[in-house]
Amino acid sequence: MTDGTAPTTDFPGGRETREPGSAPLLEVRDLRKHFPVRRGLLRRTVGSLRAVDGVSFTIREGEALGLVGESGCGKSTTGRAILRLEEPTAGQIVFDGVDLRALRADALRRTRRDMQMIFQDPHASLDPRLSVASIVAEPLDVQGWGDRDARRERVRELLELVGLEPYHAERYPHAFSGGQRQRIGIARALATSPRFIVADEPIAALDVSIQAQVVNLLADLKDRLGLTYLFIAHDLSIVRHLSDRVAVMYAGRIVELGGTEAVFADARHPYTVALLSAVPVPDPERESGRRRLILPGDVPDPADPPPGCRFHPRCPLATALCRREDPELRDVGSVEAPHLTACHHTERIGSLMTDRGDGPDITHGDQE
Amino acid sequence: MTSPRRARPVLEVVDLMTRFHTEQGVVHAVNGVSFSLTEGESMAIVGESGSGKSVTALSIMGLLVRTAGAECRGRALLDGRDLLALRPRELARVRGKEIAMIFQDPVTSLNPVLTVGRQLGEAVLHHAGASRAEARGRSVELLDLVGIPNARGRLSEYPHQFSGGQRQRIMIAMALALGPRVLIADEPTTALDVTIQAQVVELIGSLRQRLGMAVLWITHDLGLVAGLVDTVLVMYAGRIVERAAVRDLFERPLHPYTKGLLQAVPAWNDTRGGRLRTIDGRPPDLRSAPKHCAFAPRCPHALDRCWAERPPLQEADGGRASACWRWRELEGAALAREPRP
Repeated sequence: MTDGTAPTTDFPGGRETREPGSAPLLEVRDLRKHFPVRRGLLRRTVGSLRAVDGVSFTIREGEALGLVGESGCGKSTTGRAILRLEEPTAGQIVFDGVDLRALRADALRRTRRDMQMIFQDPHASLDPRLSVASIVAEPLDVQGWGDRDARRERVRELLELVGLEPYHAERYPHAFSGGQRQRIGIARALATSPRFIVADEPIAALDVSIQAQVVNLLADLKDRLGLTYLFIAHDLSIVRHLSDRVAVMYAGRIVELGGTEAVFADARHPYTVALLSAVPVPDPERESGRRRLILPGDVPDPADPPPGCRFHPRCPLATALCRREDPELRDVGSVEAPHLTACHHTERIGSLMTDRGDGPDITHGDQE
Repeated sequence: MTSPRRARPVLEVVDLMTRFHTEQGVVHAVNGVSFSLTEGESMAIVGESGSGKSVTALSIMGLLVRTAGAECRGRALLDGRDLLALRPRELARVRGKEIAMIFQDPVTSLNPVLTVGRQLGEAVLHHAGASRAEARGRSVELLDLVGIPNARGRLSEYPHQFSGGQRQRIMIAMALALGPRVLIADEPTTALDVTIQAQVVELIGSLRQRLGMAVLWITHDLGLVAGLVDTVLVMYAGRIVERAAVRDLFERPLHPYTKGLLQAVPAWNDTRGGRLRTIDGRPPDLRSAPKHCAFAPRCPHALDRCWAERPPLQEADGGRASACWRWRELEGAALAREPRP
């Protein structure tokens, strides 16, 4: 790394645990990922699908940023574009002072040891023909790290770190349950002692009784290794549990970004309000008194987003202004705790709430 | 359909046992499940993968194929008539008309090469012997009922032209085509986003009230259950381990597995930090049919007795039931803070 201030020890020894600092470890500026839409016999490009369309945020060292939104909102593409698993169309990704998009392949590969990904589906992301030892050691092989003995020792260490047994190294993925497979995926991601992890729906494919084990593991690893997370999920209660700050995406954009408690207790974008109100809560008492803001319709076609605010066709607060002008993210928080929202009418957000006023309970919207 | 209903059972399942004979051995998927669903009731079977909840539903519907190694025993009485004893042709007449089912994935349940109008029309024609024009009119009504805008115009469209939420609505319309008295909804919203899930759940709830159907939800989502049903059955390893009114279940679970499940999800207002409580170990292998309590290997409260003898589903106060030897202690909360050994 060019930045001499980062006290990285070479893996495998792990690194010193750092305090969540104020300097951003990752800075994403105006990230865009457009996919061409092709039609006809000649597969001519007739438009573009704007999966990610101008996303900016920073993550400080040791911080966990939750990225939430519904399928197709661009959250996973954002995660993949940051690691350049998808080549971004435009924008800047600055990791520890280095502009990743300016790196050539070999330099990028070296940087990747610091940035790893945990995938959603532990069944699909582990090669069934490889032993656990080979799977976990794969990133070490790619990086040309150590000799065989050193790699074997590192694998043993990693398995222990994620709560698996040394003898598991010789087995194959099919012998493991879903939760254990996800542990293998996490061990692989940690092999090169990365500083930054993109976790894309890491527990969505797991049973409830197993989810908690993996959530605890992710929290422990963050504390022990000082990891920085981009935590992509649709399960809001888990995001609330694990994240310091939360960004809400809709149709390729961030529509709200703030401290976790601020966003959950005092949402400032109508989409966030609707999203929070839609989440079923495991508490019959609360559920019975709860009213939902049921949004009409579906998310917009990313190849043909509506003009103005992309949320306006479903928004109970929408006015002529929203149909005309795309709202910018603006800060409605404080200097110490910025809280960004991309809504023209955030002052009227209270009119969505019921008299109970305890968070996501809001008045009933019209169904289409 | 608006006359007041008494608590008359419309569906009664008695000692249902379903096994699959496979090359790897016999899988004991459902091991003696009994419950009854009253008219217009909303009930849920909650469990994780492999608990037997979906197999229970498929067994009731007669959708498991004997030639594929499935074997069902017991009874499933729909208005006193045993569905498991019906011949295939008789069963086909009952399905859809009196009992219907919707599935998790609307993409795989709809035929991609037939128009939605054709598929809906078939559902109507097949049973009711209506004319084509009548079938078409009824299809439009059904799409209206489930909230698909411009229903008439969209009958000629194919499934891929609808969004995921709309496809699930179409599935619901097909299930409701003949006005069944029981609807089994097997994870109908799992593949949907939360805002769309909210639409679909509300739709099924309002249709239940309007049409006076009983709905049996099959789900893994305790949160969903909380706002939705009167009664909950919790399944583990092919058995019902707890039955309770929804409020009782969340307030004071009488089975350690239920309690573990409830504690494993963060409370909604759970601020960041802290550890979630976990259920150690993993779900049982259904190829073995242990004599002991199937949850004992993962249970923090297991005694010698739990390993010696499987606890039956025991009736408790208020129509509740628990398959735990220690349910009275759980009821008295004496086990609430017991540390793990």
